[in-house]
Amino acid sequence: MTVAAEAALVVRAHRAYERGRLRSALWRAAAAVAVTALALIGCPSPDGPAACAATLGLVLIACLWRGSVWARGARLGFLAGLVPCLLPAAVRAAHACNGNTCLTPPAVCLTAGVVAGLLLGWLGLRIAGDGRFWLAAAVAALLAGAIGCLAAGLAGLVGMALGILAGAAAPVLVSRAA
Amino acid sequence: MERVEREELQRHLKQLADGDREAFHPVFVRLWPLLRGFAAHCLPWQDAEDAAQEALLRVFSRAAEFDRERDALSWALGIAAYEIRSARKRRQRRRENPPDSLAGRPGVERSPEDAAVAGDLEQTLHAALAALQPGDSATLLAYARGERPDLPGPTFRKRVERALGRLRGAWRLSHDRRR
Repeated sequence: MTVAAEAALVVRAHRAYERGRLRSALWRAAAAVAVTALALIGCPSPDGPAACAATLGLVLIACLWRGSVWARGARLGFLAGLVPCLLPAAVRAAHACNGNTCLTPPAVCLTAGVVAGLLLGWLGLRIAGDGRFWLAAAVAALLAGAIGCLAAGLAGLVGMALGILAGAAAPVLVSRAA
Repeated sequence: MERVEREELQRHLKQLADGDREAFHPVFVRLWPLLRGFAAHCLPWQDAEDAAQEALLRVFSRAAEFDRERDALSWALGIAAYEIRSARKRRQRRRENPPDSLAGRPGVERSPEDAAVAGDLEQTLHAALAALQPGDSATLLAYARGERPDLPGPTFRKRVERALGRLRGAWRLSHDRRR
């Protein structure tokens, strides 16, 4: 094989690798978005949460394709974000919706946010990621949480965000103090 | 492959699966000769190169799905073995389909230029054969047809060698004259 042919093979192999990563990221992101879609069941105004789910899908595709710390952060953020994503839907399912209004109490979102934040802080410290890791994790967690808490209005959304922040800060502060 | 090289491949493939592009070149450098050798061992050379390339591209295409717990070398060779099996099946199918089925395809027929060159060579060969002694021509024709005259093997081989030597000489003469 000539040098030129081998160089062409390197280029083809590189393209195959990137295509493979993108394909893998697409499948995983699609599965993740399908799980979050459970939160849309019974939601009277699913447009906002659906937009959040679509954005989450794009963020996951980008992070999983890029790999390394971005992928680890996005994976952890998504897992933590499932709590505020699905818990309000579970509460809503337990207490049937009243007519067209299907508001989730902001307290549920705040609690779910704290749990998600604790998970994020505790597991994130074990992975010991850098700024990119935390950025990917925070964006994925907030977007996943927003899918569930957007139906609770601005109070639910802010409650969830504050909960995640407080929950994540606690393990970090404890570890620094120790 | 030695144990150290195998461990290196394992480490680099793990990094590649994790998305570390820096590991691409080390994996390529280690895998390409390995897969080429493996394919060459299992296939005729015409198909080995293609199968090795396909296997390499498949390995990189699936690198993101590589299970970190698995042995990298076994995993890559498993993919290569599948590609080699596919290449063998393709080869088998080519054998089953006679060349007539290719007649209608573009590019299979000789171009006018190729036909002219082939005709010219054929004429030169005929001229060179005609210039030989009848015994040499008969020996070469028998050899070309795969026939064996009633002679001991070594004697026939020597006659063929001598006839081929004379044919080369006659060929050079008639070919140079045509130029």
